[in-house]
Amino acid sequence: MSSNLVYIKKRSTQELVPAILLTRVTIKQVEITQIAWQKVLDEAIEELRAKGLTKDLPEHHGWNWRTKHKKYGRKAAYRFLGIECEQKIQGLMLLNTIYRPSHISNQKEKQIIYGMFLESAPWNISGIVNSPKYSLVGSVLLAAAVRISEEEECEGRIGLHSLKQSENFYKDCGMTDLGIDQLNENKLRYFELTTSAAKAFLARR
Amino acid sequence: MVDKKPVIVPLNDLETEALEELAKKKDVSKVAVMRQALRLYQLIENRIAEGEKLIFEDKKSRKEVLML
Repeated sequence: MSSNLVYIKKRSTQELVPAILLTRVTIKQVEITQIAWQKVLDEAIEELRAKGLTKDLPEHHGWNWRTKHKKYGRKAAYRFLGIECEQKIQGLMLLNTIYRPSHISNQKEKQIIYGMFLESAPWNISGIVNSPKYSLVGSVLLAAAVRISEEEECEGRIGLHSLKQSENFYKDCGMTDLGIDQLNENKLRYFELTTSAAKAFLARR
Repeated sequence: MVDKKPVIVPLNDLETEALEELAKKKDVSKVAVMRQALRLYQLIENRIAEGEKLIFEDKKSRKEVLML
């Protein structure tokens, strides 16, 4: 398993704190994480439902990382990234490195790295808990994906379909909104990070 | 980010030509093409083993050709 030092922000003090970027998350780590995240998510969902706030339910609440790891974890085309801080996984991301062409007109034939799933721990998400613990988890994972895209000779290009609740996050990261994908991924909005936007995104961090 | 081990792969003329063509077309190194090929091969093998089929479809005629 490979790991690298990164920094995420502790919201209570607004300080950057060291964390570990895991570039090969193991099934054991995923199993422990799934149990811990599910407990917090289930409690939050129960509370939201009790208050009648069903439209505020997190769209990703059905995701099961254990199932994803079982399916993709031992295949060379997929990369499981994670961020660990305080001995807990604070976020997970699954990337697909199989050739997919860019949707941007002057980039056709150029490969993108496809972000299949990105999730921050539920205790880091406002709307799920009252006082989220850490911020920048999603940005650090996206930055790691950009680095992998560079390693894979994709020059920082990333593509992904976003859940509605995450669209603003990806826009803020500088991703290009290429509209609703009418044919794939349950008609989610498709975004791409171009090479120049990837450089700008890394420079801003 | 991940450790890599070098592997020597002897290729014949046609295989070398195919590798060079793909690298040029996709604007990547020959190493990147070989990695992609391996990943795709493993993915296809796994899905066939799970009972799926690999089919190519002609966009115009909608004709399907079963590959594997």
